[in-house]
Amino acid sequence: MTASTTPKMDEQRIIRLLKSDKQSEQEKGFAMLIAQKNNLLRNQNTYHLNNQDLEDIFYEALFILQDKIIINQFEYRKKGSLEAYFYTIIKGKISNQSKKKRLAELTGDRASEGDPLMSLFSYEALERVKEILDKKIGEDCRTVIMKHYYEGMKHKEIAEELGLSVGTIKNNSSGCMKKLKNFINQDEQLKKIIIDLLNNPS
Amino acid sequence: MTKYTEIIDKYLDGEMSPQEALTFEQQIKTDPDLAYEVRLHQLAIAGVQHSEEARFQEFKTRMKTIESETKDETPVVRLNPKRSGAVRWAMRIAAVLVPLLFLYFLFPFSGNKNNPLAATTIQLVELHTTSSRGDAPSPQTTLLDEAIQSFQQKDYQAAIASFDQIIKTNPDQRATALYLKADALYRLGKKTEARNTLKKVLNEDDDALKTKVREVLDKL
Repeated sequence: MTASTTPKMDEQRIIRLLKSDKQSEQEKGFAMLIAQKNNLLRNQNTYHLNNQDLEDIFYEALFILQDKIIINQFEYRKKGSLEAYFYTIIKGKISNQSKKKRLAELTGDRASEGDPLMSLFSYEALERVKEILDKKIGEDCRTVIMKHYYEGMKHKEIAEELGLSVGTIKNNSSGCMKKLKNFINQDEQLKKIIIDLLNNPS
Repeated sequence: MTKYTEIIDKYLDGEMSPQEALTFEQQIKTDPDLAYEVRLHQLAIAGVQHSEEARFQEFKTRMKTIESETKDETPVVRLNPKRSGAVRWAMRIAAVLVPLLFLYFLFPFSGNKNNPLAATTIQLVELHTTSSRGDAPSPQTTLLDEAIQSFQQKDYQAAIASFDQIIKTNPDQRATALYLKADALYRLGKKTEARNTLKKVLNEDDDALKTKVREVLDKL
């Protein structure tokens, strides 16, 4: 019987590689993290997600980690901190996935494969919302919305990362979400899509 | 519009009491403004996910390529190399002791040897774990998982709050939740309340559990 060996995580090296300008170096860093996939996901699946969802969450967490390392939002302090940080991102994504399923189920929609909410709307509708996010609501609002509603970060975690108070982030988070929803509501086509969905649930 | 944003977030963040959550879920069916806003919220969140989707899919493809390339290079190790006699004996002893230790730590419920409810609690938890394995998660299974987790961590008050929510909202799991709630009350020293809760199981449809409850009631 044989089994793959899992090399130990050399965190400082991984960070150095991910920050490198050379693509080949970055890929080495990712390969070292991917080698830890099973270890990093072990005991994390508190919501009993299926393997496909869990694997997507792992890659999404990697995707977020990469961005954070590149823009210096992660500061390496001691051994184990990269692993702990990665766990926090995975936990946030898992909790986010569960929230999206609950939100879909609130209207009686059974979550299909992949994202529970995206399957409810057409590609065109989602593109129009993306345009609002990119062009209308402003960079600060976009950042807070992405951290809370995409990365699944708690208000406290966002406050720590951005060096602001929890109260400010809490207000900004719901204020920015309202702003986004108001823009969607002002778009007649999107409004019609929602009304059609209310009249003809999937 | 958008006046319900905080309320929807509160519901999704699990910050509502079970009663509040239930009222909120009912309100969606009767309040067209709220129903509209829930759809609006769904579209907003879906749009947020979509805004990163193209970049993410490209990234994922790149990661999959890296993963498949590195898999071929991963070294392998024999799990059964030739070992000395002493090592083989040590491994045999470990093979007996490790499962026993595993069982001891797996079932923290069994710590209370004088608790007449403990044995059935272990069976109910095992049954739930086995039957929900591989199922698509639902709010009900998640809630029972959370309740059991609180119970295992000896946070009986939190476990009772979750069991109460299940009792109110999910007839399929009501008998199990009532029994486990009774055990939690018993562990908090509330024996009369435990007994009264246990009696309510007798009104449910689960005949096997009712038989167990009658046996336990005689010992309480």
